[in-house]
Amino acid sequence: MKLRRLLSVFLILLLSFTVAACSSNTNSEPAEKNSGKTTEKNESKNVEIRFAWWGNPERDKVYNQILDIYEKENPNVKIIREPSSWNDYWTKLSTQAAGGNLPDIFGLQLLLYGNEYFSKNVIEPLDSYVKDGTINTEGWDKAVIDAGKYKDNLYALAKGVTIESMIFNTSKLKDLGIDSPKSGITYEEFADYTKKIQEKLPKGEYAISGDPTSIEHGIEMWARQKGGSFLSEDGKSLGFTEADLKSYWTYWDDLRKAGVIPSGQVSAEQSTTPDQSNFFATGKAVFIERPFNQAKVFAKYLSGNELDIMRYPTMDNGKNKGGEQLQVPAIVMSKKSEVKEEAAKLINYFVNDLEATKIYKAENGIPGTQPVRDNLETVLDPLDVKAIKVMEEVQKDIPTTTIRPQGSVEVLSIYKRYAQNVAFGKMSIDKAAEGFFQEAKQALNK
Amino acid sequence: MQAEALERESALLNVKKESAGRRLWNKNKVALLFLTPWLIGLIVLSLIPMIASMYLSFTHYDMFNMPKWTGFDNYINLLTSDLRFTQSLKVTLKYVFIGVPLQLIMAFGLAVVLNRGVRGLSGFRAIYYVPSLLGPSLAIAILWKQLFGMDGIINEFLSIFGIAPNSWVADPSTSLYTLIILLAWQFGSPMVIFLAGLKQIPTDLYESASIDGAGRFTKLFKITIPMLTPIIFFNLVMQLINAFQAFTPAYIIGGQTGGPLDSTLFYNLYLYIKAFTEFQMGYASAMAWILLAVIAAFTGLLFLLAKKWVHYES
Repeated sequence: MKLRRLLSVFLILLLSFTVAACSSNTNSEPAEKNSGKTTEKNESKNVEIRFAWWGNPERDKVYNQILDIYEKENPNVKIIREPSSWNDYWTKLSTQAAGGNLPDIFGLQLLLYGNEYFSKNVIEPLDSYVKDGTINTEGWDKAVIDAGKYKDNLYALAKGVTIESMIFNTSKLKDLGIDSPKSGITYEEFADYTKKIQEKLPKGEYAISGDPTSIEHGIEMWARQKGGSFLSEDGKSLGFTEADLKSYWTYWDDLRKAGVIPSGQVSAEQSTTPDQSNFFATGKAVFIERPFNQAKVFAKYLSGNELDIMRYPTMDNGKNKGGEQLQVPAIVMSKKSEVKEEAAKLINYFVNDLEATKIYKAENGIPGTQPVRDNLETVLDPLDVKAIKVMEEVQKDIPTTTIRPQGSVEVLSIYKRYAQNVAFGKMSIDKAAEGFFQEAKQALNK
Repeated sequence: MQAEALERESALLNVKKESAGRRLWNKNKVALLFLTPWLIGLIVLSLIPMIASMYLSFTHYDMFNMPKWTGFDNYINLLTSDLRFTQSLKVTLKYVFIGVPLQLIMAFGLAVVLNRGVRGLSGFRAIYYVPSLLGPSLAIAILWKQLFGMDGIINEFLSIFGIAPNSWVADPSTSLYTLIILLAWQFGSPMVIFLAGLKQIPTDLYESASIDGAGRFTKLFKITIPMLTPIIFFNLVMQLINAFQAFTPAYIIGGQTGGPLDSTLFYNLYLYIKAFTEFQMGYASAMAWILLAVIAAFTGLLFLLAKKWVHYES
């Protein structure tokens, strides 16, 4: 009796499993049939490619447009799209990398995250695909190809090249009766200039939207202008001195006191506000520090206003006039991808195809390949044309771009914390600089 | 013959002894069988990861390379030299020990009011429960940020009284309190439990108290609260453990970094930052075990103290 009861329990359990298994079987059947048909026609299997990028709804439209065309031309390919906003993108990506389920193709900001990912053996080298012709690198700038290399292997292809810049609202300047800033404006001149603007602005509006010390590009450029870098090449020590940091924080603290940049509290709130509702996008600020390729996005939020791009302030008494880094948003393939051949084809299409790049334009910056640039000449947004000019000017007097070494992410977060302490007035500049150097050294020597 | 009988008896005895050991199995095997799906879940989804994290807490592990054994280094670093760890502990303790009592007082107060036979009780009960359902969600965290932001409704309301607008979420001295209010606002589930408890209190106690001339407050303090102590205790333990594990509101409102100035750096948020943005999985695992110890210590303390004030009717 007992045995029978036990048996029946087993049977019930077993049944539930088989039912589950059966139902999944029936689901997959039609798919198989479909693929059978296409095999006859195209001699290629149905594949699904996961493609992830960071951006905003406007950029997603551009991606979707390109990927839709690719799907139409390659009916056997289905592209699963995984867009996220900038902040979410990196946390999601690191979790996926650790879990071994990275998207087949995804975007990677080389300056910030290149070394973090290249050194972890999760990205597929592209050399073999270049060799067999799946990916074409003819006509590419050597500097741009080199940016995607790590230990002599090619890992990444640039979607564009961009630099940190000041985007500004010329219509607003006109309303205030102030001329646009002269090109190559120095830090001192820029301080006087923005103070003059601030005097004319009503309460609640700012000459500069957000606090440049709350992100790391400013201090990195300052360090490079003084002949240093953010971190030393081996990633074991800081590339600038305590005095450099103090002078940098003092410069911006002066502007903060003058109201040119918002107070610590206001910019803390700004930093968690989505782009389309920050001060600059709502017409309450004249300048914003961003990579120049984002100017078009802001132009959409600020329809009716004319925008322009200015290079970051230059340094007269430094070692280098400019300190900008070339930022290279690139496209890479996961080492774990099961559709590498198809993924390589899609990468090639995305960065080289004249139709695709004509849609993408300079979304992520200026393309790093001559044929694509030539093809874009007629369709580029006026802001991008301006950006190319600014970039040509910048490239004349900046030191070589250095990809940040592994481990920089932690130092960056320490930096941001101390910078915020200064912005809130909770720490004196001297004390914060001392604290930052102590904690950063501790983190780097782990 | 006799020897044979003896042998048989002893064999029988043996069987009996054995079956005493196996009785548990025999008695529970059907139950265990039915529990297998859950047991598998427990082992695969909880037990194994827990053991793994125990091991990882003694290693340096960046999720990509093999873990490197470092002994007690993680624990020593945490407890002796990590200032953000101390800060996150401070923030979390403040959140728990201000937020939970507030939440329970709200829950208890409303339960008592609703228990007075309000018309449409079930409707009210459902409405007051809604915040608890929405509580830990992303949407509410975003809503909260809007409410307490510079242009938020709270400022508009306060301006009626001439109070200068402030960005409550971006001010390090007030940002944690907006999260504490959020916690207190989610009083629904303890309230429902209180309501059920109130219904259990025999009405004859109140009747005889009335005959003896007891007033409303005497009845509240001499009957309702003492009779409800087991439920208060239960809610306290549950909400305490919940509050220790808070994450979502700080993640959204603090802009993923515990800002401004680490004022909303919850313990779990810091753990998350260590694990997933700084790739220090071993360190984060050690943090998780310390959190477990802290929660266990406080829960244990509550149980010890419970003997003094919780009144169980036998």
